[in-house]
Formats: sequence, structure tokens, C-alpha cells
Amino acid sequence: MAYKDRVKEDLDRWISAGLVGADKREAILASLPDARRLDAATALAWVGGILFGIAVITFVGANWDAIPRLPRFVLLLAIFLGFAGAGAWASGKRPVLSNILLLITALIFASAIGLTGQIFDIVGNPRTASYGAGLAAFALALAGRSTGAAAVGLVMIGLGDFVEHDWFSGGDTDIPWILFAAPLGVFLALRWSSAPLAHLAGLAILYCFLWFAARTHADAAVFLFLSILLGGFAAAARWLYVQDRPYAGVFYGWFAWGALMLFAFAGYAPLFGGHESLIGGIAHRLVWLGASGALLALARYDRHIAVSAIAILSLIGAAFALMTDLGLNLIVAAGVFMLCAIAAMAAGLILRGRAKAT
Amino acid sequence: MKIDAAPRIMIVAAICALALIGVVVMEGAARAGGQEIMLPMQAVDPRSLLSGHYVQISLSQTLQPNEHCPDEQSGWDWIALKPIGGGVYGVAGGAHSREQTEQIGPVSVKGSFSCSPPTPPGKDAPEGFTGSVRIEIGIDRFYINQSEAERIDQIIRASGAGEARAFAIVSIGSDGQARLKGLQVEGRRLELTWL
Repeated sequence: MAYKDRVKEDLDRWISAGLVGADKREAILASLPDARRLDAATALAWVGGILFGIAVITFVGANWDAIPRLPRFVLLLAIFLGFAGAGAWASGKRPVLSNILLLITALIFASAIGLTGQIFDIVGNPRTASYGAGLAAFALALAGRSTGAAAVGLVMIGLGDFVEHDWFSGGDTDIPWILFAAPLGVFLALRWSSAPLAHLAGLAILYCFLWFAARTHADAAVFLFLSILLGGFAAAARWLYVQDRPYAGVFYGWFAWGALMLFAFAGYAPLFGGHESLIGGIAHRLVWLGASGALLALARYDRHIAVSAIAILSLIGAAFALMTDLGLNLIVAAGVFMLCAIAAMAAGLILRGRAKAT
Repeated sequence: MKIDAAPRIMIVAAICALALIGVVVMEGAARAGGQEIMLPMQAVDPRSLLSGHYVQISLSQTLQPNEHCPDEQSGWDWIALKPIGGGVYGVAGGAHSREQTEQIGPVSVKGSFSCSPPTPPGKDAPEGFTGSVRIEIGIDRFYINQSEAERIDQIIRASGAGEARAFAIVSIGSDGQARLKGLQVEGRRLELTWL
């Protein structure tokens, strides 16, 4: 929920309580800037821009039997430079149009690398091509303040990391470039207040954590460490969210989800697995339940719908895992859930008591 | 000095365009300056996807029943090539480095091969069975117009077992990288040109 919407709700409450005069309502709200929303026309312009870019790529990619190689290459460069020029022309005057044009320019350059290889039969390395396209897209993004081009940069570098790599078996010794691109994506998303870039960068950060996890041999301690670290990231994102930093809430959601998932994985890694560690497993599930409940309470307090949903799903997952551990013994499961319910209610009562006291 | 967004964008775009031109020029120079050899190829397949028409190239050398698979070292990534007649080259062996492959055969190239061994003549098969060596040097397609691609496909499919009528013309650069220069199909050269 945007800050202005929250103030609106609070204002109505304060007016009905007689704390603020009803005549002040409009003046107070007028002093607050409107949250930037994507209107239908802008959304359609984005969709149209992306489809146009795909159409250009497909057209260029089609076989041009009738056109000789060199003119084909010149045409490819002309299309790329033409879109870049249009993006440059629109920068400053029409920022949305410039953003869309630079996104298309970045996509055209990505396809131009492959098509140049095709035109001149150059044996290329797909990984280098993807990294090159990603770097060019980031350079265009930074030059023209384009969130679209930055998103293309993140995707291309992510693709480059996947091409001819074996990250998740732990057999690859190279460092994925997304380790550098993801923090840059987070920085640009926060600086330029971009929701799509924030989602992509959030996923890229999770990718980095999974890469670290895959370097180990499914060690529970490492998963726990990564979960706590990502939990710290989520706390930092929440702090920014509470400070009304636009789109920090997106990172709050992704990082909270990632931290809970890593914590869940930790419970099934060797430290807790096996029949001999049933108690350890149950203890893990109880902590998982508690952490999910605590996150739910925090998310409700923050009025963050996505994090609330993540916490509820995690709570269901933890409950299901616990019931599976207990061999679906309903009496025992009922007892455990009763204890959890009492603990939750007691915590709620204590918090309410403290709130009243202050 | 603060540069406005418009010139910044154009500077980046110009650098990107120059980088592409640089790759084309450098690859062209390396292709022209390399040692030219011909490698036998089989099983071509004209494609028509988004990337256009091309001849899919499978570099494959036939081994007669009395021949054997080339020697290779474990973990090797260089191939030694040797002439096998008619200006055509075949695999002599695999080694760890260029220096080692140069002791095996006159031409060294980065890549790998896999061998399906031939069966020597015996009681069950009086003439034996041929084997094959599949060469992987990063060359797997040659872009060409649709009619030529289909013609080459028909020629290769009409070839008998072990009879190579199409060859890949490959340039081996000083860096050990193989670059495709063109195809030779039934004595006719189809070369990559700028125009």
C-alpha cells in the first residue's frame, strides 16, 4: 500500500475520532505526492514496445537470401544505431519512450551478436556472447537511465551464467557474473524506483545464494548460515520499506521467501536427516513454524500483503512437514499444534499488553 | 564535466557497434591467415528456423576395418591432424597441449573427438565393419541460401557408406582455433565471401 493511501486511512480514522478537523483532510492529502502508477496507456506502450522489439528481432533473424552479407551487416548496425539514436533523442523529453527504446536497443544488440556470427560464419562462444550483450545492455541503461535496458542486462548475464555451466552440481569453478550484476540491479532498482527491475534483481540475489549453497555438499550448517544472512538482507529491505523507500518492499518479499526456503532446506540436509536425528528434525520444523508465525505477525504489522502470503504458505509447509515427521499421528500432531497455538496466543497477549502499557 | 544523456547513449552505442565491427574484421583476418585444410563431413541437414537456412555439418572421418581409433591422452583438449589423401585431413590423436599434438601430427587444432571403433574382418563378418571418428572443433553449421542447402543435403544423402563427397574447408589459425571457410561439394567450392 502506498504511503498516501495509508495516510488516507489514518486521516479518516483521526477525523472520526475528532483528532483532526474534516476540513483539513484535502489540504493534508494535497501536500503528499501521488505514488507513481503505471497507467493503462503507459502499460500498453510498454507491451507494444516489447512486441515491436521482438518483431524486429524476428525480422532480422529471418534468412535474407537475397541480401549480400556485408549490406546485411550494415543494415543490422543501422537498425541498432537507429534505435539508440531514437532513445537518445527521447531522453530528457520523453523518459518513458526513451526507456522503451533503449530496452529495444539492448535486445537488438543481443540479437546482433548472434546474427553477426551467422552472417560471417564466426564460431563464437555462447557464454561470451551473452555476457557481451549483458554488459552492453547495462552500459546503455547507465547512459540513458533505462530500467528496461538494465533488466535486459540482468537477464543476458543470467543466461550467460547458465550456458555451458554446471553450477548446481558444484562441478564448475568459474564465478558467475550474476554475483556482480545482481547487486548492481538492486542498486539501480532502488535508485530508479523500478518494480520490474526490483523483481528481477531480487530473483538474481536468490540465484546468488543458491549458487553459494550449491558449492557445498548439502551441508545443513551452510544452509542455516545462508538463511540467516538472507534474513538479514530481508530485515535491511524491511527497514528501507518502513522508511518509505519505493519498491524496497519487493526485496523484503523475495528475501523473506528465500530465507524461509533455505531454512526449510536446512532441515533436510545431513545434519538433521535420518532416523537417528528425528528429534533434531522436529526441532527444526518447530523453529520453522515459529519463524513463519513471527514473519506473519511482522508482515501484518507492516501491512505487506506479499510477505503475509509468503509467511502463510511457509506456515502451511512447516505444519505439513511436522505432520509427516510425526508419521501422521494425529494425537501427537494435535498436541504439538496445541502447544504452538498456546505459544502464539501468549505472545500476542504479551505484545498487546505492552502496547497498552505504552 | 557532465555529459548529457543523449551523447552518453550515442557514445555507448558507437562503442558497441565498433566492437561488433572489430570482431568481424579480426575473425576475417584470422580466417584468411590460417592454414587451410579439408575435413570430411557427413549427415548434413538444411534448417529453416529463425536463424535462417544453414547446412548442419558433422565432421566425421570413416575408419576402415583394418584401421584403429586414434590414440588419446586423458583430459586432452587438442587434436593432431594428418593428411589422409587428396588434400583431406584426418585425426592422428589427441593430447594436452599444442606442443604434444605437434609430435603426433603436422596440424594442431583445439577440440575433441569421439571414436566408434571399426570391426576387423573375422568369422562372423568376413569383410569387417567400418568405424568412424567424430570431430568436434566448434564448427557445426554453414549458412547458405535454401536452394544450395537442399542441394548439398541431397548429394550427401545419396553418398554411399564411407564415401565422402562433401568436405568442410577449414582455416586453422595460429591460436589453434578452427574457422570455417566454406564447403567443397563434388569438387565445387562454396566459400564465404564478404558480398
